[in-house]
Amino acid sequence: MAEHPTVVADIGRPTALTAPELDPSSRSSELRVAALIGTGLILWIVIWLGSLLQFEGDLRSMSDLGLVSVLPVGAFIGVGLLTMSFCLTLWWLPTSNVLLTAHVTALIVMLFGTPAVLEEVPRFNISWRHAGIVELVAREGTLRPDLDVYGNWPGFFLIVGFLSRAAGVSNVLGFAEWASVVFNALYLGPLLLLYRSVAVNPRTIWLAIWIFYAANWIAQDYLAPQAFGYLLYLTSLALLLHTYSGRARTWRRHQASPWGASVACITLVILFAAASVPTHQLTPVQLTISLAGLALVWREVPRALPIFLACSIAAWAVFMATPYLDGHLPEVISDVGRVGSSVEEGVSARVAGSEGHLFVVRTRLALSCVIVLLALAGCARLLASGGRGAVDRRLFVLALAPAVLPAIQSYGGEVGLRAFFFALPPLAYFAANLFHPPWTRRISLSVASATVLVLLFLLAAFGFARYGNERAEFFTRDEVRAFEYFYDHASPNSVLAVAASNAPWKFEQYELHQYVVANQLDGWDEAAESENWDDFLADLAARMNKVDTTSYLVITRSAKAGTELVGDRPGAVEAFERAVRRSNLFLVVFSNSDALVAAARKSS
Amino acid sequence: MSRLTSLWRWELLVVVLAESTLALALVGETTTLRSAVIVTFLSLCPGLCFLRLMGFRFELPADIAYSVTASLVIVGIVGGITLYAGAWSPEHVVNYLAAAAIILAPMASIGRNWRIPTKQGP
Repeated sequence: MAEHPTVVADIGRPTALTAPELDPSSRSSELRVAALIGTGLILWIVIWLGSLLQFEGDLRSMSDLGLVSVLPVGAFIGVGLLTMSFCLTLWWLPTSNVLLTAHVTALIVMLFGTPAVLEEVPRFNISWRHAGIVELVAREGTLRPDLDVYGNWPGFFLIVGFLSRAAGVSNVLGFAEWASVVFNALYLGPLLLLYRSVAVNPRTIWLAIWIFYAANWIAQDYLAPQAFGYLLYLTSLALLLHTYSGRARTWRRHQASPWGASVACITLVILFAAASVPTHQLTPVQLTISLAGLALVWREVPRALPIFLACSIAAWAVFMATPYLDGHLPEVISDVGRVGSSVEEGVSARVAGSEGHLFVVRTRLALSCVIVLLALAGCARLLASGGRGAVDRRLFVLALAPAVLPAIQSYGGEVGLRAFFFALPPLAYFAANLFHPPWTRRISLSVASATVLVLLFLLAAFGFARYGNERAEFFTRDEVRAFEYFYDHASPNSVLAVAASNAPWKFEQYELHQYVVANQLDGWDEAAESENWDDFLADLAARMNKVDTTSYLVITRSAKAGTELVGDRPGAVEAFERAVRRSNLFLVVFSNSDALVAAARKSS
Repeated sequence: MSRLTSLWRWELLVVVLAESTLALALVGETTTLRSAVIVTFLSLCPGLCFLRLMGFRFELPADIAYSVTASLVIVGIVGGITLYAGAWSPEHVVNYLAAAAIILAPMASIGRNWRIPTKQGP
């Protein structure tokens, strides 16, 4: 590692873009500085970890601003000092890959590992559901595409199920806690490869990586097919760009044979791209668009590659995802071309809820806009200094390609988030060029100060944007105990009803039960408005008693917090809980400070 | 980092992990150590062998990322075949993968030396 070719290929100003002076001082003084920074790095990590381990507050007291409202001061100080230490390393020792890698790794652990250190159980209700599907695959060796969408694109669940069964692990919730850290650490390799294929200035490369992580608030890196799909997306594109950028040092055996190198590269890209098809609905579509865009501006990309991928997606949909498409095809097709409604669902519809939540949503929008503006400014600086050729057209296409997604799918109102996620690597690269364009050798004080300030701003915004919903997204051990009670006592085919879908449920016996979400049933709004729950409870009990076995209703703290946060009839879940406790139709069989389990009484 | 990369004896790592996996499989009992070894082996070694057989060698962070990605894809392919064939048995399949890794790692290592060294890079 750390070979720095002196000329950038394919950027248009090859003779102007020489590598910065990398060895201004003697080896021994460089080592002393490195030792100092390394010691500091350990200290910043200790400050961060120590403050989290000594945290004695109650996460339940979190406000609608999210995790930031309860984090100890030491956590902020640790991240701030780490950022400054990173900037110093970037300026003094830009070729010290070990130190820079250590800084980025520490950043990943701090940004994405904080909830895992602070919270009792894994966050985010969908992680729990995914753990349940993994458990089903591992236990039964079946995919059940009839159950829901997951069985129709089962690649990720199959892989994790295989791993957990082989390792003899009964559930993957332990991994779910740290999944974000693991996936973000895995993204580092392809990001390095991607940026090295278009830039030689190590400052630009490492700053782009830092910006990528500081702006990755999307939270699609948990135990989910999207996280693995994104890894496949990044690895495929990075390998293509790196291999064909004219200065790849990937090869050992194929050095003498460019043809052999091409075949090996294309084989691996096809393998990864094809693996994304059964893994996730959106990722292969985006990969096809990105590859098609690359093929248009860059003759090295085989035209057949996006065509192959498009055919694979179509074949999978026709032959393997039929159970899902049978019921949802009109819905899928109706989204095509409806850019306005996709944006409406993804942006306008989300600007709602409590004051704190509104601030969080606006911070998310602002952070995304700031990244786009920084990237545009970076492009403008490259254009102004080096002409049109200075802006790498391949990364430019990769930044624009995700803009096509909203015209294809609304993806449940999330397509804007996903498009930003896919565009983030090239956007981060162009944003880094605003501060450290490829030809800069010396860093002025004003640029240094601006870099530190912008990075600190991004990290501050990240805290709100990423963990702004934490009040609803974290769960307590007591909430989980309520569902464990259900799994211990329920018979197969029992109905599991919850007040709202934001709960740590479905993490085992996924296929054995029927599920009901009370606040999505007809009559909920009327009952909440009139505060008369009798008819609603009667309907709910009748629905739950359609099966022979005893069915259970679980009401949790997170269900209340989730509905309050997004302004979905705040207080309704509490009123519902009071009505359930009073009702003759339900019998409370388990309760603690955060949850209640009530069995539906069978009418005689 | 370049020194770290040269010290990164991947063949040794693969063989040690594969043999540990086989040894722990013989014990049969599920322990934390067994789970950790098997997960590490499955999420790193098949892909590492595959990449080396194809002639790939990246810098360390990319080497790890590509090995893990390739390993997971291979696990997915093997798992998919056994699942659709009605022979779902990861606890047994992992032994075959470990045996294959023990054979393939030295092959890939020797294969790398078949080529006459040439001048580096374009």
